[in-house]
This record gives sequence, structure tokens and C-alpha cells, in this order.
Amino acid sequence: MGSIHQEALRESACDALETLAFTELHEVGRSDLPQKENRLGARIALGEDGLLDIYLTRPFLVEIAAVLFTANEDQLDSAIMNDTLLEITNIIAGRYLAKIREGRSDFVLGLPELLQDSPKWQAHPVRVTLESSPDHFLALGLMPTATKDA
Amino acid sequence: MPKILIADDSQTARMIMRRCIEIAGVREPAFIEAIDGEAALAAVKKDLPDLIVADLNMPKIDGETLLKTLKSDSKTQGIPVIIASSAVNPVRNQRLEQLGVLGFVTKPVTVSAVKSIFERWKGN
Repeated sequence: MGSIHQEALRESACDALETLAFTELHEVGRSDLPQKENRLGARIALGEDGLLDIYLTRPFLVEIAAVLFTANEDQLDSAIMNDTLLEITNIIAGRYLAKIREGRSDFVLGLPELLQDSPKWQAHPVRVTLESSPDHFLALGLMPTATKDA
Repeated sequence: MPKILIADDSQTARMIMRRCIEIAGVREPAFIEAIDGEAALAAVKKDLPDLIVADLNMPKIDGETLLKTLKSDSKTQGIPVIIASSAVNPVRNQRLEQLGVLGFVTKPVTVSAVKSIFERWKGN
């Protein structure tokens, strides 16, 4: 993925989360990602532009959902958390596509799906990693459609 | 008390839209919610809303098909429809305008975007 696309993806994530959940994101490196299995992931098809995977650490997703629903953690069930993750995925993907397409042509965005298997965010060839606080991480991975599953 | 139908497969998105509409100052809205275009059509058949806000990207019947269906029926063609989408797509938006959409809001939806488009609705 070229740096222009990486930049577009980073901006899309920043815009989305700043508006949705008043969260500022800061880019970090792959080695800064936590190793613990405490993350949730979703995937969305971007038509001919490939697939986008998004991973959030659970504490980060809890914080976002709590802001959106004005609720405490114990009021947030897994259905709400999953739904919030899917909507975040949808929003970031839509913004990203709009940026890279720049109105030049029609495009189709797929429906986001949860990644059921434990997501290995290091497995994806391209990533932008963003952190807002010690246990709050978001990682984004773009893949061409042909190599969708490792 | 305006009846507003919100069609979106995401509970999160429906909640955000509801909240934005309330904060935008719509007086005592009565919300009807639908999880996709098919459910939206069923809800419209039961009770005609004053306004529909529909996500573009939904399973079963998407926002564009919903709009087309509503505009092709004399009973529902007068209901204003706002399309919400995460992606600004001018090619598609032109198509939706030709179908008679009232306007668009881009996700994540903001109160100011809702206010602006609701002014247009009131003006109409």
C-alpha cells in the first residue's frame, strides 16, 4: 500500500474517532502493539480496493461505547460492543474510500463483519497503528481481495 | 409531533442519529426504528412517517432501493428521505438526487449536519 493510502487511512480513523468519541489518536509502531489477546476485530470489503481489517483493544472499545451510549462498562453487553465495532469499521472504511476515490467514480462498500478468529494483527502486510492511552490501541490493515485470509 | 423513521442495521448508528435529532431541536419527535430496508418498508406500510432517515448500506434492501421503492408508490412518494452514509460518493449521490432524495448526511453524523438538513425539511 502506498504512503498516500496509508495517510488516507490514518486520517480517516482519526477523523472518525475524534468526531464519534472525542478521542485523539497518535501513531505508534508495530512493536508497540500489546501481545495480550485482548482485542476485537472486524473486516469490510472495499470493492476493488481490497479489504480493510480493523482491530481495537477491548478497553478502547469499551471506552468508545461508553461515550456513545452514555453508559458504564457493566451496562454494555457484547451485542452493543460488537455493533459499535462494526459501525466504527463502516465509518472509517467509508471515509477512506471517499478520500482515495475523490469522487472520480462510483464505488461499493461492503457490510462489516466481525472477525471470529483471534485476530493476529501482526499477520497483515500493511498497518497503521494508533494509540490513545496505555491499553487503548487500534490497528488497521489493508489487503488486496485475493489474499484475504492467512 | 413528527414521526421519524430511522432505518439502519446498526443499533449504534440509530442511537447516534436519534440523539443528534433530539439535540438539533426537533420538537418531541416520535421515533420508529427499522433494522434494514425491508423492515423500513413494513413500518411505512403500517404507519406513514413524516420523514425517513435511511442508511445507504443495509442488508436485504439498501437505502437506494428503499428510496426507489418509496418514490414509485403514490402513497409514499411524498415522504422526504434523507440518506446517511459513511462514504461521500458524488456519482451515487447524483443518482439519489434524481430519485428525489431530500439530502445526505455523512457518518459520523453531527448535530450541525442534522440541523442543516432539517432546516431544509422544514422549509419544504
